Amino acid sequence: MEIQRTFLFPLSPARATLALLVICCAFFWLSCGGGSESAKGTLYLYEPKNPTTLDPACSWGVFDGRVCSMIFSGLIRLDENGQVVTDLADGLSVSEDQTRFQFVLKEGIHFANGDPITAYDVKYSLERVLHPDTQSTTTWVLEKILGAKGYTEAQAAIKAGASHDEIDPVFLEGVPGIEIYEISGHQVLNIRLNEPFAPFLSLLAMPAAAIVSATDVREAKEAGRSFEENPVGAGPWKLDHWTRDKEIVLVRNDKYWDELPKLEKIVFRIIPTDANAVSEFETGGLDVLNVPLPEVPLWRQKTQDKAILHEIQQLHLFFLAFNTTRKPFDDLRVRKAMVHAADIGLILKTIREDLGIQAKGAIPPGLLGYDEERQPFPHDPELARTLLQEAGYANGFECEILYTSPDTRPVLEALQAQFSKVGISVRLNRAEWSTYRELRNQNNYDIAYYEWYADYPDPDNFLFPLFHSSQNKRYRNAEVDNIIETARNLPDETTAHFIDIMLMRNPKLVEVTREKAVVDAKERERLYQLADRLLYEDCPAIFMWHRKILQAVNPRVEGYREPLTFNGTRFMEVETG
Amino acid sequence: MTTYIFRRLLLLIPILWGVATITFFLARVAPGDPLSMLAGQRELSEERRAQLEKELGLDRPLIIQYADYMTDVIKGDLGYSFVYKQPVTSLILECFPRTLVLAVSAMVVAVIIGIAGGMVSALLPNTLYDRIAIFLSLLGISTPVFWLGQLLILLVAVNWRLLPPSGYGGLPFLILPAIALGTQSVALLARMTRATMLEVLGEEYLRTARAKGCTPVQVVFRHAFSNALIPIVTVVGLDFASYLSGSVLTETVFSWPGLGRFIVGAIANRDYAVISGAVIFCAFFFVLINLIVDILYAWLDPRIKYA
Repeated sequence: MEIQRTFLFPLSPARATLALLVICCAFFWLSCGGGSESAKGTLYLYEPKNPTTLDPACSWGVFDGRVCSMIFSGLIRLDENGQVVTDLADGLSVSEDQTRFQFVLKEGIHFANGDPITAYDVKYSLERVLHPDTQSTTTWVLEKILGAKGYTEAQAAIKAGASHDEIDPVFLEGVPGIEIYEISGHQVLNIRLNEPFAPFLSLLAMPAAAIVSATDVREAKEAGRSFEENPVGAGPWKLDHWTRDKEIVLVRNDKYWDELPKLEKIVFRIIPTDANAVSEFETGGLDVLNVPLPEVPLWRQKTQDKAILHEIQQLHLFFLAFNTTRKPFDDLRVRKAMVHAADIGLILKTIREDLGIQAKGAIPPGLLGYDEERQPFPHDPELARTLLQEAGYANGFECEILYTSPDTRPVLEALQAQFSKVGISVRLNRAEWSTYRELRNQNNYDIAYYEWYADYPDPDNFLFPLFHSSQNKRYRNAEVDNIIETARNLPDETTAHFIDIMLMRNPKLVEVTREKAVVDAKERERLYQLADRLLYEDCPAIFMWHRKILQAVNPRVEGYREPLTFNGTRFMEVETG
Repeated sequence: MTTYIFRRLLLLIPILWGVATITFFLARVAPGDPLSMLAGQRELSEERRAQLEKELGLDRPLIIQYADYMTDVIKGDLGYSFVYKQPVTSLILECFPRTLVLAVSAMVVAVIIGIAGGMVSALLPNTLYDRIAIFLSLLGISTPVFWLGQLLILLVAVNWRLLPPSGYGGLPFLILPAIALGTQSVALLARMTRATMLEVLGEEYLRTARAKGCTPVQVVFRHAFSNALIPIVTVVGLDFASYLSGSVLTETVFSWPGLGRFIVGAIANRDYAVISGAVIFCAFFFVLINLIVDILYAWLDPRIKYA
């Protein structure tokens, strides 16, 4: 059939093109919407990527956790110095053996939508993390609670079709270690642990243990909407909107139980490149900038009227982990030779612009167990060659370093050159994140780059997940394992301060018990120092540095302070002019 | 014509099936751990990994997963993102309008400047203007978008403070990315317009038009330009389709929250449902735009008949 040209298109091509252009112009003009907003009372921050989730139960990333800890409150939280302070809990009592925790909930507290917060919401929130439907990967935060694992397994079995008769009845009602009741009109929540666990309070301050509204979660599920589209929490901020790849906007939650933030709004802009972040800071689109490494010398010369600069040390460890299940890295002499061949000080000075503290173990400065006295292994290529000769590698060997971040490349290239001087030929293998993780899971690498930021300010967070053999399949040191296990089950000094009359009615006895626990807690410090020393001597990794960042803050911002951990600030005191 | 359009639309079915199948298997055979985006640096215990694989349906045989996925796709359900925990369709529809705005505006820039430049160049061949236009179009084709983008940001946004350097909002945010994205098409269109116009301007029917008393404007626009449009429409259609599939570099350089960045993020996350869904979506638009281009051919040149 011949096309009916005049019927379909009454306009001539030239006129039609003109009309199309006019329509297109009107279309994009209308679809773009409003312009930029006023900055007063608003703080502009940025991140390179979207958060993975705004559901605290599933949050694991730094950005996820940062936003979740602003929208949500937990029973307790960390302050900017990493200290445990109560949040929704009015009181906290800990038993003498540090296995029982009693939280009394504050009265008259509400979620951002106005619903009252009950002990049931707290119990529901914690059990939600452990429930298989939530698909949380942060169940480890709560796994020390009595019956936590059993509850997850029982619920998974029910989901798979098991009848209730086949399930241990204690797991049908919830997690046995979490109980709620009322005492004299106060709502109380009791948590029992399988065994004493020193970092437990710090873990309870993590986003995974944040309190969500049981009603809201259920309503979201029934309505078929994602919980994270409109998460309702009890923190000082509430989500205004999240436009993926553009921004997350938080506004002040007027129903917050404590004094309200001074700012009205916080905008987290998603800016994927460093160059853009710098341009945005320079044109006033951002208030805080983590200065990219190549620009550090330039920014150090800038005057303070354009940007106030701070050097901030982070609870962080950058290291290259040996796969000690593979030859030749199963030989301590080889590992040590590589440690001596690497000149970390030089790399820090030349490539890292001195933004870092040379590591001499896994524990960063500022945490329990950090040894001020210990010196890093010296750079000694001669000794490295001798060690290689003793190990039977006088002619060196070939190996591969697996890494993922392109920013690491200059550092690894410098190391490659340093290793080549002692006869070790290194190939650099860059893999994108998920491939890198798969290769690590499969044990399929020689040496792998690792970067670790603290989830909670405790040495356990560096030693257990990174070097305990239950977590790291490429390294096993029974002595280190034992020490880490013993240390995490000892009384903790912070927790000791909360030892109270939960089990003892005699105030004097409480005082004595508390003091004893504080003394016992010193043993933890000694053990962590010992474990860190053993790791230092056994060289499961080349411990590189603890990161520092150069941060530029817009002079219009007052009261901004970078917290010790990602979830340590809610920007309560920050003001913008 | 209706039959032709119907047949072309029917062809969409095997094309989309092929795209869906290839993407489904490619995403899964590519190396990478889909659970890594749910766990971060911390290693999952074998037990927890098995539980999560079961929850996400990744423990089932691949062919069963494929059969289930295709059944859902036939029903119009593109699946569920296991990273964002939201339906893929709603996630795509969230980003697509922004990419559409950018693509349309880049195309507007390209069409206005490219065609006008090419026409003037053809009307004044071998003059200084023509040489400058040829040189600029060569420069435009050779300039990588990420470099041009950075240059525009540095000059226009940082030094001159005329426009915002990046982001998504009102019209000021759109101008720089539209120019950066449209520049290569400008250059290509200018060269294409020049070449085809030069060819058409030598035709005898234009002499007849002039002899019949047509004004120079009528000769150029009604008789010459109309007949030179077919290759230009081809280039516009292909470029526009590729813009809609996601202009990753432009979106990244200007922090534009479009489909391209979203797809790249999904690939990095090994978010299988999102990867497959987004590719099916893009393929659909690619085929649709090609169909529109084919229909436009018939409109522009009545000699073209589709049976």
